[in-house]
Amino acid sequence: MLKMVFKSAIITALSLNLALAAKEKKEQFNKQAEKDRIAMQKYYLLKFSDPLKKSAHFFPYVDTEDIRKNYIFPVKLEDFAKGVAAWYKPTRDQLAEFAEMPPYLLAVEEGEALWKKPFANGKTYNDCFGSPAVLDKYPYFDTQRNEVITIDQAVNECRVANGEKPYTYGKEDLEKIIGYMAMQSRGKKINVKIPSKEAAEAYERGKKNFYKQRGYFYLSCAECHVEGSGASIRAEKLSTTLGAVTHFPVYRIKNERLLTLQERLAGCWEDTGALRPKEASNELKEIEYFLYYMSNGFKLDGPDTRK
Amino acid sequence: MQKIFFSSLALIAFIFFGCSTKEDTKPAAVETKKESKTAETKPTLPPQKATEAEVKKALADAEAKYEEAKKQKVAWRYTHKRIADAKNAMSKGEYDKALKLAQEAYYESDQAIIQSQEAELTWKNATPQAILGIKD
Repeated sequence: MLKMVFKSAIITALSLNLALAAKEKKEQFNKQAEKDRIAMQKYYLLKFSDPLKKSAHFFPYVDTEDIRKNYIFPVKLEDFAKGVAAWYKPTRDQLAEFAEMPPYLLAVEEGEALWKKPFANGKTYNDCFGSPAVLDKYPYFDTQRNEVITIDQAVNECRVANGEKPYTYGKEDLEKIIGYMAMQSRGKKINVKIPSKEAAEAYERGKKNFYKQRGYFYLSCAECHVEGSGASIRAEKLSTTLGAVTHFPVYRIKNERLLTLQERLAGCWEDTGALRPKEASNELKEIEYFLYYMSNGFKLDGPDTRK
Repeated sequence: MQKIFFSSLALIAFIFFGCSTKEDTKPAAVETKKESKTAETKPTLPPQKATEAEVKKALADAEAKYEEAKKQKVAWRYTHKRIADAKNAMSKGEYDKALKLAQEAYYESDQAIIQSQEAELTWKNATPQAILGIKD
Protein backbone atom coordinates (compact mmCIF):
# COMPACT_ATOMS: atom_id res chain seq x y z
CA MET A 1 0.00 0.00 0.00
CA LEU A 2 2.75 2.42 1.05
CA LYS A 3 4.64 1.48 -2.07
CA MET A 4 1.63 2.37 -4.21
CA VAL A 5 1.21 5.76 -2.51
CA PHE A 6 4.89 6.46 -2.94
CA LYS A 7 4.76 5.51 -6.63
CA SER A 8 1.71 7.68 -7.38
CA ALA A 9 3.28 10.60 -5.50
CA ILE A 10 6.38 10.35 -7.69
CA ILE A 11 4.28 10.14 -10.86
CA THR A 12 2.20 13.19 -9.82
CA ALA A 13 5.32 15.18 -8.99
CA LEU A 14 6.91 14.26 -12.31
CA SER A 15 3.85 15.17 -14.37
CA LEU A 16 3.48 18.46 -12.46
CA ASN A 17 7.10 19.23 -13.21
CA LEU A 18 6.61 18.45 -16.87
CA ALA A 19 3.50 20.65 -17.05
CA LEU A 20 5.33 23.52 -15.37
CA ALA A 21 8.28 23.14 -17.73
CA ALA A 22 5.94 23.15 -20.73
CA LYS A 23 4.22 26.29 -19.44
CA GLU A 24 7.56 27.98 -18.91
CA LYS A 25 8.62 27.00 -22.40
CA LYS A 26 5.34 28.34 -23.82
CA GLU A 27 5.81 31.65 -22.10
CA GLN A 28 9.29 32.00 -23.50
CA PHE A 29 8.00 32.60 -27.03
CA ASN A 30 7.50 36.26 -26.16
CA LYS A 31 10.79 36.64 -24.29
CA GLN A 32 12.49 38.69 -27.01
CA ALA A 33 9.29 40.60 -27.78
CA GLU A 34 9.03 41.62 -24.12
CA LYS A 35 12.62 42.86 -24.17
CA ASP A 36 11.82 44.87 -27.29
CA ARG A 37 8.65 46.32 -25.79
CA ILE A 38 10.38 47.44 -22.60
CA ALA A 39 13.29 48.93 -24.56
CA MET A 40 10.82 50.80 -26.78
CA GLN A 41 9.09 52.28 -23.73
CA LYS A 42 12.44 53.24 -22.16
CA TYR A 43 13.53 54.91 -25.36
CA TYR A 44 10.43 57.07 -25.70
CA LEU A 45 10.21 57.97 -22.01
CA LEU A 46 13.82 59.11 -22.12
CA LYS A 47 13.50 60.89 -25.45
CA PHE A 48 10.48 62.90 -24.35
CA SER A 49 11.54 63.39 -20.73
CA ASP A 50 13.29 66.65 -21.57
CA PRO A 51 13.64 67.23 -25.33
CA LEU A 52 15.33 70.57 -24.75
CA LYS A 53 18.17 69.11 -22.70
CA LYS A 54 18.44 66.06 -24.92
CA SER A 55 17.99 67.86 -28.23
CA ALA A 56 21.54 67.18 -29.41
CA HIS A 57 21.09 63.45 -28.95
CA PHE A 58 17.43 62.87 -29.82
CA PHE A 59 16.37 65.93 -31.84
CA PRO A 60 19.45 67.06 -33.75
CA TYR A 61 17.46 68.60 -36.60
CA VAL A 62 14.71 70.29 -34.59
CA ASP A 63 14.93 74.01 -33.90
CA THR A 64 15.43 74.43 -30.14
CA GLU A 65 13.11 77.44 -30.24
CA ASP A 66 10.37 75.15 -31.59
CA ILE A 67 11.03 72.72 -28.72
CA ARG A 68 10.98 75.52 -26.14
CA LYS A 69 7.75 77.00 -27.47
CA ASN A 70 5.72 74.00 -28.58
CA TYR A 71 6.88 70.72 -27.02
CA ILE A 72 5.09 69.30 -24.00
CA PHE A 73 7.27 67.31 -21.63
CA PRO A 74 7.78 65.05 -19.79
CA VAL A 75 5.34 62.71 -21.56
CA LYS A 76 3.70 60.00 -19.47
CA LEU A 77 3.73 56.47 -20.85
CA GLU A 78 -0.04 56.23 -21.40
CA ASP A 79 -0.06 59.61 -23.19
CA PHE A 80 1.87 58.18 -26.14
CA ALA A 81 -1.49 56.74 -27.23
CA LYS A 82 -2.46 60.30 -28.23
CA GLY A 83 0.16 60.37 -30.98
CA VAL A 84 1.82 63.69 -31.83
CA ALA A 85 -0.82 65.47 -29.69
CA ALA A 86 0.87 63.97 -26.62
CA TRP A 87 3.93 66.16 -27.00
CA TYR A 88 3.26 68.88 -29.57
CA LYS A 89 1.00 71.79 -28.62
CA PRO A 90 -0.10 72.97 -32.11
CA THR A 91 -1.21 69.45 -33.05
CA ARG A 92 -2.88 68.96 -29.65
CA ASP A 93 -4.89 72.18 -30.22
CA GLN A 94 -5.83 71.27 -33.80
CA LEU A 95 -6.96 67.75 -32.84
CA ALA A 96 -8.94 69.15 -29.90
CA GLU A 97 -10.84 71.32 -32.40
CA PHE A 98 -11.46 68.31 -34.64
CA ALA A 99 -12.72 66.36 -31.64
CA GLU A 100 -15.56 68.86 -31.22
CA MET A 101 -17.12 67.52 -34.39
CA PRO A 102 -15.15 64.42 -35.42
CA PRO A 103 -15.05 63.96 -39.19
CA TYR A 104 -15.24 60.17 -38.85
CA LEU A 105 -18.63 60.04 -37.11
CA LEU A 106 -20.65 59.70 -40.31
CA ALA A 107 -18.44 56.81 -41.46
CA VAL A 108 -18.89 55.11 -38.09
CA GLU A 109 -22.69 55.46 -38.36
CA GLU A 110 -22.57 53.94 -41.83
CA GLY A 111 -20.34 51.20 -40.44
CA GLU A 112 -22.96 50.40 -37.82
CA ALA A 113 -25.63 50.10 -40.53
CA LEU A 114 -23.36 47.78 -42.53
CA TRP A 115 -22.69 45.73 -39.41
CA LYS A 116 -26.38 45.23 -38.76
CA LYS A 117 -27.37 44.58 -42.38
CA PRO A 118 -27.89 40.80 -42.83
CA PHE A 119 -26.00 38.89 -45.52
CA ALA A 120 -28.00 37.17 -48.28
CA ASN A 121 -28.10 34.03 -46.11
CA GLY A 122 -29.74 35.98 -43.27
CA LYS A 123 -26.69 35.91 -40.97
CA THR A 124 -24.82 39.02 -39.81
CA TYR A 125 -21.32 39.94 -38.65
CA ASN A 126 -22.50 39.20 -35.13
CA ASP A 127 -22.61 35.52 -36.06
CA CYS A 128 -18.90 35.66 -36.85
CA PHE A 129 -17.66 37.93 -34.07
CA GLY A 130 -20.30 37.76 -31.36
CA SER A 131 -19.96 41.49 -30.75
CA PRO A 132 -18.41 44.48 -32.51
CA ALA A 133 -16.27 45.21 -29.43
CA VAL A 134 -13.54 42.70 -30.26
CA LEU A 135 -10.65 44.80 -31.55
CA ASP A 136 -8.61 43.96 -28.46
CA LYS A 137 -8.42 40.39 -29.77
CA TYR A 138 -6.70 41.44 -33.03
CA PRO A 139 -4.22 40.89 -34.51
CA TYR A 140 -3.59 37.38 -33.28
CA PHE A 141 -1.49 34.47 -34.45
CA ASP A 142 -3.55 31.53 -35.66
CA THR A 143 -1.58 28.45 -34.62
CA GLN A 144 -3.60 26.19 -36.92
CA ARG A 145 -3.02 28.26 -40.05
CA ASN A 146 0.37 29.54 -38.87
CA GLU A 147 -0.33 33.12 -39.86
CA VAL A 148 -1.21 36.47 -38.37
CA ILE A 149 -4.91 37.33 -38.60
CA THR A 150 -5.79 41.01 -38.69
CA ILE A 151 -9.23 42.49 -38.16
CA ASP A 152 -9.52 43.47 -41.87
CA GLN A 153 -8.85 39.87 -42.84
CA ALA A 154 -11.33 38.55 -40.26
CA VAL A 155 -14.09 40.83 -41.61
CA ASN A 156 -13.46 39.70 -45.16
CA GLU A 157 -13.24 36.03 -44.16
CA CYS A 158 -16.57 36.41 -42.37
CA ARG A 159 -18.08 37.78 -45.58
CA VAL A 160 -16.67 34.99 -47.73
CA ALA A 161 -17.84 32.35 -45.23
CA ASN A 162 -21.33 33.78 -45.61
CA GLY A 163 -21.31 33.77 -49.39
CA GLU A 164 -20.47 37.46 -49.84
CA LYS A 165 -17.66 39.06 -51.82
CA PRO A 166 -14.73 40.34 -49.74
CA TYR A 167 -14.39 44.10 -49.43
CA THR A 168 -11.67 45.94 -51.31
CA TYR A 169 -9.35 48.34 -49.52
CA GLY A 170 -10.03 51.99 -50.22
CA LYS A 171 -13.68 51.48 -51.18
CA GLU A 172 -14.55 52.54 -47.62
CA ASP A 173 -17.03 49.84 -46.54
CA LEU A 174 -14.31 47.78 -44.88
CA GLU A 175 -12.93 50.88 -43.17
CA LYS A 176 -16.40 51.94 -42.00
CA ILE A 177 -17.17 48.57 -40.40
CA ILE A 178 -13.79 48.52 -38.65
CA GLY A 179 -14.40 52.14 -37.61
CA TYR A 180 -17.63 51.06 -35.96
CA MET A 181 -15.92 48.08 -34.30
CA ALA A 182 -13.12 50.35 -33.06
CA MET A 183 -15.63 52.76 -31.55
CA GLN A 184 -17.27 49.86 -29.71
CA SER A 185 -13.88 48.56 -28.54
CA ARG A 186 -12.72 51.86 -27.04
CA GLY A 187 -11.14 51.53 -23.62
CA LYS A 188 -10.17 47.89 -24.05
CA LYS A 189 -6.48 47.11 -23.63
CA ILE A 190 -4.26 45.77 -26.38
CA ASN A 191 -3.16 42.27 -25.43
CA VAL A 192 -1.24 40.61 -28.26
CA LYS A 193 0.15 37.17 -27.49
CA ILE A 194 2.93 35.13 -29.03
CA PRO A 195 1.71 31.57 -28.54
CA SER A 196 4.18 29.50 -30.54
CA LYS A 197 7.59 29.30 -32.16
CA GLU A 198 6.02 30.16 -35.51
CA ALA A 199 4.33 33.19 -33.94
CA ALA A 200 7.68 34.34 -32.54
CA GLU A 201 9.19 33.95 -36.02
CA ALA A 202 6.35 35.99 -37.53
CA TYR A 203 6.94 38.65 -34.88
CA GLU A 204 10.67 38.71 -35.69
CA ARG A 205 9.99 39.04 -39.43
CA GLY A 206 7.57 41.89 -38.74
CA LYS A 207 10.16 43.58 -36.54
CA LYS A 208 12.87 43.22 -39.17
CA ASN A 209 10.63 44.61 -41.91
CA PHE A 210 9.85 47.57 -39.68
CA TYR A 211 13.52 48.40 -39.11
CA LYS A 212 14.96 47.34 -42.46
CA GLN A 213 15.76 50.02 -45.02
CA ARG A 214 14.39 49.67 -48.54
CA GLY A 215 13.39 51.49 -51.71
CA TYR A 216 15.32 54.06 -53.72
CA PHE A 217 15.28 56.38 -50.69
CA TYR A 218 16.80 53.56 -48.63
CA LEU A 219 14.43 54.30 -45.76
CA SER A 220 12.71 52.18 -43.15
CA CYS A 221 9.50 52.69 -41.17
CA ALA A 222 11.66 53.07 -38.04
CA GLU A 223 13.81 55.81 -39.50
CA CYS A 224 10.85 58.18 -39.39
CA HIS A 225 8.84 56.67 -36.55
CA VAL A 226 11.54 55.67 -34.05
CA GLU A 227 14.70 57.71 -34.49
CA GLY A 228 12.95 60.43 -36.48
CA SER A 229 9.85 60.63 -34.31
CA GLY A 230 9.46 64.08 -32.85
CA ALA A 231 11.29 65.67 -35.77
CA SER A 232 9.63 67.57 -38.61
CA ILE A 233 8.70 66.36 -42.04
CA ARG A 234 7.70 69.37 -44.10
CA ALA A 235 5.10 71.16 -41.93
CA GLU A 236 4.20 68.10 -39.82
CA LYS A 237 5.74 66.23 -36.91
CA LEU A 238 6.64 62.55 -37.15
CA SER A 239 4.64 60.35 -34.81
CA THR A 240 6.01 57.83 -32.34
CA THR A 241 5.74 54.05 -32.78
CA LEU A 242 4.70 53.56 -29.18
CA GLY A 243 0.91 53.83 -28.91
CA ALA A 244 0.53 54.55 -32.62
CA VAL A 245 -1.83 51.66 -33.30
CA THR A 246 -4.33 52.57 -30.58
CA HIS A 247 -6.31 55.01 -32.70
CA PHE A 248 -6.76 52.99 -35.89
CA PRO A 249 -8.63 53.11 -38.17
CA VAL A 250 -7.80 56.79 -38.52
CA TYR A 251 -9.67 59.46 -40.38
CA ARG A 252 -6.84 60.95 -42.38
CA ILE A 253 -7.52 64.53 -43.40
CA LYS A 254 -5.25 64.18 -46.42
CA ASN A 255 -7.40 61.28 -47.74
CA GLU A 256 -10.72 62.57 -46.37
CA ARG A 257 -11.73 59.09 -45.21
CA LEU A 258 -11.02 56.34 -42.71
CA LEU A 259 -7.89 54.26 -43.31
CA THR A 260 -6.99 50.92 -41.79
CA LEU A 261 -3.51 50.23 -40.45
CA GLN A 262 -2.86 47.90 -43.40
CA GLU A 263 -3.41 50.75 -45.86
CA ARG A 264 -1.16 53.11 -43.89
CA LEU A 265 1.58 50.50 -43.69
CA ALA A 266 1.38 49.86 -47.44
CA GLY A 267 1.62 53.63 -48.02
CA CYS A 268 4.59 53.93 -45.66
CA TRP A 269 6.36 51.05 -47.43
CA GLU A 270 5.75 52.72 -50.79
CA ASP A 271 7.01 56.09 -49.52
CA THR A 272 10.46 54.55 -49.10
CA GLY A 273 10.58 54.18 -52.89
CA ALA A 274 9.81 50.46 -52.79
CA LEU A 275 7.11 48.63 -54.69
CA ARG A 276 3.86 48.85 -52.70
CA PRO A 277 2.96 45.51 -51.13
CA LYS A 278 -0.64 44.36 -51.11
CA GLU A 279 -2.71 45.08 -48.04
CA ALA A 280 -3.20 41.93 -45.93
CA SER A 281 0.03 40.46 -47.36
CA ASN A 282 2.10 38.48 -44.86
CA GLU A 283 4.77 41.20 -44.68
CA LEU A 284 2.31 43.89 -43.66
CA LYS A 285 0.32 41.65 -41.33
CA GLU A 286 3.54 40.73 -39.52
CA ILE A 287 4.53 44.40 -39.17
CA GLU A 288 1.07 45.02 -37.70
CA TYR A 289 1.61 42.12 -35.28
CA PHE A 290 4.93 43.63 -34.17
CA LEU A 291 3.46 47.13 -33.78
CA TYR A 292 0.51 45.95 -31.72
CA TYR A 293 2.84 43.96 -29.48
CA MET A 294 4.89 47.11 -28.88
CA SER A 295 1.71 48.83 -27.67
CA ASN A 296 0.55 45.99 -25.42
CA GLY A 297 -1.24 47.40 -22.38
CA PHE A 298 -2.32 50.61 -24.12
CA LYS A 299 -6.04 51.34 -24.30
CA LEU A 300 -7.73 51.29 -27.69
CA ASP A 301 -8.98 54.71 -28.71
CA GLY A 302 -10.00 54.43 -32.35
CA PRO A 303 -11.13 55.81 -34.60
CA ASP A 304 -9.39 59.14 -34.38
CA THR A 305 -8.41 62.00 -36.65
CA ARG A 306 -4.91 62.41 -38.01
CA LYS A 307 -3.37 64.79 -40.51
CA MET B 1 -12.20 115.30 -113.33
CA GLN B 2 -10.43 113.01 -115.80
CA LYS B 3 -7.53 112.81 -113.34
CA ILE B 4 -9.85 111.72 -110.56
CA PHE B 5 -11.49 109.11 -112.80
CA PHE B 6 -8.17 107.52 -113.82
CA SER B 7 -6.77 107.54 -110.33
CA SER B 8 -9.91 105.82 -108.89
CA LEU B 9 -9.74 103.30 -111.75
CA ALA B 10 -6.12 102.59 -110.86
CA LEU B 11 -7.06 102.20 -107.21
CA ILE B 12 -9.86 99.73 -108.05
CA ALA B 13 -7.52 97.78 -110.29
CA PHE B 14 -4.89 97.72 -107.53
CA ILE B 15 -7.37 96.49 -104.95
CA PHE B 16 -8.74 93.84 -107.29
CA PHE B 17 -5.38 92.46 -108.42
CA GLY B 18 -3.92 92.85 -105.00
CA CYS B 19 -6.71 90.80 -103.42
CA SER B 20 -6.71 88.18 -106.11
CA THR B 21 -2.99 87.69 -105.73
CA LYS B 22 -3.47 87.20 -101.99
CA GLU B 23 -6.24 84.66 -102.59
CA ASP B 24 -3.98 82.71 -104.91
CA THR B 25 -1.21 82.44 -102.35
CA LYS B 26 -3.38 81.45 -99.38
CA PRO B 27 -3.91 77.70 -100.19
CA ALA B 28 -0.24 77.33 -100.90
CA ALA B 29 0.61 78.65 -97.44
CA VAL B 30 -1.85 76.22 -95.83
CA GLU B 31 -0.32 73.37 -97.76
CA THR B 32 3.15 74.21 -96.54
CA LYS B 33 1.87 74.30 -92.98
CA LYS B 34 0.20 70.90 -93.44
CA GLU B 35 3.39 69.45 -94.80
CA SER B 36 5.42 70.69 -91.87
CA LYS B 37 2.80 69.33 -89.46
CA THR B 38 3.03 65.87 -91.04
CA ALA B 39 6.76 66.07 -90.76
CA GLU B 40 6.40 66.87 -87.03
CA THR B 41 4.14 63.92 -86.17
CA LYS B 42 6.16 61.40 -88.11
CA PRO B 43 9.77 62.17 -87.40
CA THR B 44 12.27 60.00 -89.07
CA LEU B 45 14.38 58.22 -86.49
CA PRO B 46 18.07 58.99 -86.44
CA PRO B 47 20.18 55.93 -87.14
CA GLN B 48 20.13 53.72 -84.01
CA LYS B 49 23.38 52.53 -82.50
CA ALA B 50 21.68 49.68 -80.61
CA THR B 51 20.31 46.67 -82.41
CA GLU B 52 17.01 44.92 -81.81
CA ALA B 53 18.84 41.84 -80.54
CA GLU B 54 20.76 43.92 -78.00
CA VAL B 55 17.55 45.52 -76.71
CA LYS B 56 15.80 42.15 -76.46
CA LYS B 57 18.66 40.75 -74.41
CA ALA B 58 18.78 43.80 -72.13
CA LEU B 59 15.02 43.60 -71.63
CA ALA B 60 15.13 39.91 -70.79
CA ASP B 61 17.93 40.58 -68.26
CA ALA B 62 16.00 43.49 -66.73
CA GLU B 63 12.84 41.43 -66.41
CA ALA B 64 14.67 38.50 -64.83
CA LYS B 65 16.41 40.79 -62.33
CA TYR B 66 13.13 42.52 -61.54
CA GLU B 67 11.44 39.18 -60.84
CA GLU B 68 14.34 38.26 -58.57
CA ALA B 69 13.95 41.53 -56.63
CA LYS B 70 10.18 41.10 -56.47
CA LYS B 71 10.57 37.60 -55.11
CA GLN B 72 12.77 38.97 -52.34
CA LYS B 73 10.16 41.74 -51.71
CA VAL B 74 12.74 44.44 -52.33
CA ALA B 75 11.77 45.73 -55.79
CA TRP B 76 11.67 49.48 -56.31
CA ARG B 77 8.56 51.48 -57.01
CA TYR B 78 8.90 52.43 -60.69
CA THR B 79 11.11 49.69 -62.16
CA HIS B 80 8.14 47.97 -63.80
CA LYS B 81 7.27 51.28 -65.47
CA ARG B 82 10.80 51.56 -66.90
CA ILE B 83 10.50 48.04 -68.32
CA ALA B 84 7.13 48.90 -69.88
CA ASP B 85 8.59 52.12 -71.34
CA ALA B 86 11.53 50.15 -72.75
CA LYS B 87 9.16 47.70 -74.44
CA ASN B 88 7.15 50.59 -75.85
CA ALA B 89 10.28 52.28 -77.21
CA MET B 90 11.42 48.99 -78.78
CA SER B 91 8.09 48.56 -80.53
CA LYS B 92 8.56 52.02 -82.08
CA GLY B 93 12.03 51.11 -83.26
CA GLU B 94 13.69 53.50 -80.78
CA TYR B 95 16.35 50.96 -79.86
CA ASP B 96 18.78 53.39 -78.23
CA LYS B 97 16.10 54.69 -75.89
CA ALA B 98 14.81 51.17 -75.19
CA LEU B 99 18.30 49.92 -74.41
CA LYS B 100 18.93 52.79 -71.99
CA LEU B 101 15.63 52.18 -70.18
CA ALA B 102 16.16 48.44 -69.95
CA GLN B 103 19.65 48.97 -68.55
CA GLU B 104 18.28 51.44 -66.01
CA ALA B 105 15.61 48.93 -64.96
CA TYR B 106 18.26 46.24 -64.54
CA TYR B 107 20.43 48.59 -62.49
CA GLU B 108 17.52 49.46 -60.18
CA SER B 109 16.69 45.84 -59.40
CA ASP B 110 20.36 45.03 -58.95
CA GLN B 111 20.76 47.91 -56.50
CA ALA B 112 17.57 46.88 -54.68
CA ILE B 113 19.02 43.42 -54.07
CA ILE B 114 22.43 44.74 -53.02
CA GLN B 115 20.94 47.30 -50.62
CA SER B 116 18.67 44.65 -49.14
CA GLN B 117 21.69 42.45 -48.42
CA GLU B 118 23.35 45.38 -46.71
CA ALA B 119 20.19 46.29 -44.76
CA GLU B 120 19.97 42.69 -43.60
CA LEU B 121 23.21 43.29 -41.67
CA THR B 122 22.46 46.78 -40.37
CA TRP B 123 18.75 46.93 -39.47
CA LYS B 124 19.41 46.09 -35.81
CA ASN B 125 21.32 49.37 -35.43
CA ALA B 126 18.01 51.22 -35.64
CA THR B 127 16.32 49.48 -32.71
CA PRO B 128 15.83 51.28 -29.37
CA GLN B 129 18.21 48.74 -27.78
CA ALA B 130 20.97 49.81 -30.18
CA ILE B 131 20.24 53.53 -29.78
CA LEU B 132 20.23 53.30 -25.99
CA GLY B 133 23.11 50.85 -25.88
CA ILE B 134 21.06 48.11 -24.16
CA LYS B 135 22.45 44.62 -24.67
CA ASP B 136 19.90 41.99 -25.73
